[in-house]
Amino acid sequence: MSEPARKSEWFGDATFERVAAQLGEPSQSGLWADVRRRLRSNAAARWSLRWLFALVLVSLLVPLLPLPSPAAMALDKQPKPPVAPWVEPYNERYEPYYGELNAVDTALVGLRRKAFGKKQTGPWLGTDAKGRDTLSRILWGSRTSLLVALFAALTSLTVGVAWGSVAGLASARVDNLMMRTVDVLQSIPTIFLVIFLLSFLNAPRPDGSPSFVSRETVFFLVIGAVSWLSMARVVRGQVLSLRSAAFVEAARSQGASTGWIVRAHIFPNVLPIVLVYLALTLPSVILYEAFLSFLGLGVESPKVSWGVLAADGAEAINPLATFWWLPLGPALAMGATLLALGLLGDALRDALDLRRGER
Amino acid sequence: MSLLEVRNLRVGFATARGWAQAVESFSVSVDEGEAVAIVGESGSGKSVSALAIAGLLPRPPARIETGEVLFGGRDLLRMPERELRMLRGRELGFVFQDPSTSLHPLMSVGEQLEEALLVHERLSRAEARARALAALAEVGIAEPDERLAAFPHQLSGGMRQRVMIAMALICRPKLLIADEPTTALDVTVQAQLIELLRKLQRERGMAILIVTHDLALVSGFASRTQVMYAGSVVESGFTSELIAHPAHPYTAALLRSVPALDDALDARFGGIAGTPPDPTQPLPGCAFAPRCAHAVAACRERRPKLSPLALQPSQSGALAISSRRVACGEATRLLSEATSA
Amino acid sequence: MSAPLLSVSELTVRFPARGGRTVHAVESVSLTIAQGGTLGLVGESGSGKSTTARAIAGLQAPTAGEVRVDGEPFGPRSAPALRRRVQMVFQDPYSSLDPRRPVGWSVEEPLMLHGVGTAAVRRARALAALDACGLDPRLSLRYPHELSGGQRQRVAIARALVVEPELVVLDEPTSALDVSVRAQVIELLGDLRRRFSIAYLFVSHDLAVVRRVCEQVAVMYLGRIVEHGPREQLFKAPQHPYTRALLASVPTLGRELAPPPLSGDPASPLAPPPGCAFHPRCPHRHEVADERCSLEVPFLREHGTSRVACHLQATPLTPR
Repeated sequence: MSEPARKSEWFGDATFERVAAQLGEPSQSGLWADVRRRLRSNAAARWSLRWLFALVLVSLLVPLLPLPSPAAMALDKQPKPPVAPWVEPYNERYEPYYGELNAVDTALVGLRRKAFGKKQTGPWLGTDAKGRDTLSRILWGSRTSLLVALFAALTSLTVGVAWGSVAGLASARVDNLMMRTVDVLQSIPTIFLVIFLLSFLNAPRPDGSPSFVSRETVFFLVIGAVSWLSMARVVRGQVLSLRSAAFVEAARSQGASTGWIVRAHIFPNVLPIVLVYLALTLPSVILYEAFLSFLGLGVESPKVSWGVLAADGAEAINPLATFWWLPLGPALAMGATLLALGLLGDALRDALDLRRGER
Repeated sequence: MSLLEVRNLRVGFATARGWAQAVESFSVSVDEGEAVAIVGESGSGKSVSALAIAGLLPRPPARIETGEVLFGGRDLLRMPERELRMLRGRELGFVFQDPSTSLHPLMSVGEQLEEALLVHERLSRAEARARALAALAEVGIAEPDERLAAFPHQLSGGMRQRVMIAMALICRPKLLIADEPTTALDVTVQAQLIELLRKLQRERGMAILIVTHDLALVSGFASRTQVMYAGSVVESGFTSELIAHPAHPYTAALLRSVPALDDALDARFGGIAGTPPDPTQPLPGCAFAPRCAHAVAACRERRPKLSPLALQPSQSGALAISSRRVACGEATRLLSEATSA
Repeated sequence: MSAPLLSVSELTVRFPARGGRTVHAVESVSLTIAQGGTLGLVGESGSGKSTTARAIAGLQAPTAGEVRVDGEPFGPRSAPALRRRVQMVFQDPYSSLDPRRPVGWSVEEPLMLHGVGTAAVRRARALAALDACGLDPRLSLRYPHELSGGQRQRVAIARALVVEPELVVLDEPTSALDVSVRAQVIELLGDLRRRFSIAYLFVSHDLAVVRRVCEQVAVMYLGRIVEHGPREQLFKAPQHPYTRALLASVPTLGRELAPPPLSGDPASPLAPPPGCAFHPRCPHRHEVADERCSLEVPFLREHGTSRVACHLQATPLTPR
């Protein structure tokens, strides 16, 4: 049978090559441009993105800013209430004690010293019982929250998405095994696990050597073990329903490989749900970190996090004085970030929903 | 006076893409014991009209802008929700398109049937049960005793739709509104259900307002038919006359699109090119003009109103057409062309 | 006589269901379609017509029996070159196109999978296929949600045609469409067949539509073909009581409705009745001696130009 000859008979009309050239490439960009346009037209999404962007920028560049060091103490002082910027714009009491810093941050702090010398901002948000600057501690503390969020996001995106996709595509038996694993991991009471691991790892050794695993490592291990589970579930459910969709069947009937189906159909259709889900689950991870830090199971001094600050603030409250500025700052910062992520997730869901406004 | 009189109903929806005018202008009257059909394709506003009449539209997003729905002389649109609910159970029955979603999945058929009686007629349990049994038997369900204890998922689609009809009928309403009652069903089951509705109409003198996309289905059933397009009634009249001599180009094209078991195989049937207008972007002129083969310039400028068909003296003798209303400026000309050809 | 394009013999498909039960979707279905022929497969829900179509299109492995295309065994594991020759159009134009791909891409995809030509050639061919299906090539850049149901179904037909198949399996291609759009799609299918001499397997519950499209018609009831014959014969002088009932149930414009010919619903394919599956609803079962209808499965037997599976066949029904 002379197949090539027959083919040209059907749709071999050369005029369509010109039409095709005129029309240009059919691309995915149309869809994403639409999503961007819808996101931009949503005021809540715009402000959420601005807030998150500013937060990321500030937390990255915080060593460069002319702030007091978050660790520099002044032991002789009581908590000092906030001073308005126009009353005390800056003072010259800067002390370059930061505890341990990595090379990049050390370099950034060096730059800061060259630029601003001993100048630093006044206690605009007050100081704590040890004389440390609250504003500086909130900004340095945002790094912990964002780092945890980033780590959880990466685990969700890699382990969670991969686990869920493989389970959704594999045979019923493998799927069952993988999802039961998720069930088991999800049923572990993580708080107890953290307490147990910490007390085990941090127990004083007979030879008096320091523990080789820091609290932070334990903390990230637990976050890593837990944060991808629900993403795996969501992705698996989505993949399962896509797998039997008529358009996937149509591709399969043309001899499409599993790789093709994943690349061409499943990935583009799962991605939006993954993004939305990510935005909506990150707040719980950030809260979880704050919660553990609040209990004293999180980061160790001199490092700070919003949870640590909130705990300090709560501790400072007594019947005689409230020191309201201590818990207020971290609480507002965290509240705004969680709200921004939630609003962004909602906006993303609306923007990515193709059928919105149809029928 | 008519049992149901709907005048100038106008309904829209707030959607993400703006205001969607689902029903532009809808009027209908149903006499006691009469069967009237509303025919239209998807997006014509026929279901929205039916739901609006029964007060079943979720508001918001829907909003009834103008109009009145007089049922037995009372305006349902201005009736308090509680009163309306009571009336809906007792005097006005409603049958939905999809029986599987409109029955409560966790209540047995018997409980659902008896509930209406306990609420509306204050019968005792035993009396309610007897009435429920009778209702199931009446809609043609075999072994009603056993079915009373069944849950909706244990029934077939046809059986579920019969249960829905039994529920709508149990308090012996004066009017039954059926929104595409057979669309989800097989053709042999559809025939049974239409026969059931006809029997109820004949024997109980119950009025029926049936909403459907299938002209053939209602042609032997409803005495009068209204054709809807893009939210407006475009033609209304006696069903047999309307099918024999459609006056609106849309009705004519729709009739040509219906394949029959006995039409000539070599005849092409047209269908209608194009798609209905976007309800968020209403056209200034006739909504059908962009798809109409007979449209003239005036059609695109001014929207025609539904008005009595003016027959030429030569036609009125030859054509048996009475009380026809058409929303088309060219209807008289087209009809004379069609009959002379 | 040359071999038929499609030959299906003793096709049986069963699915496991909950509670250890079995869905008898398709039981011993045999049929053939010649090059360029058209066969309509008619039945109500649960008749197994869609499962038969899926097995023929190679989307469903049969439990027993076989499907041959041009004499070669055909199924989910056949080589792509063979599978190219049979294409399928699905019922729901909303779910059969990838919502996140421009429809032009969807039409092009089969060509990519079969490794046809360069990107430019493929794109031109996809546009030509869209054009042949009555769609403006500019629509190729749109997404499915931007098109109407009728336009989407035209895209789905273009996707099936672009690889130039010899048989197109159409599973209820018009039942999700409005009447006016349905008529146009049916006309399109007729035009395409005349132009490219494709064979169709047309699955539908709509008898009037099947009559327009198909020269041969097979009626299925609970997994089995009960009557199979040329359209003239089947629509003018139906032999099987079920076929007659089905035809009598179709409402006709401007005609008073006939009393419903059947009572009750079809049985569930989970528990098909013994003997002839139609016998509990059959108005003629008492005319056959010895309760044969409830005991013995009737097989398809030649009857004039048709094949009919009915015990009554020894005493043929007189046309009404």
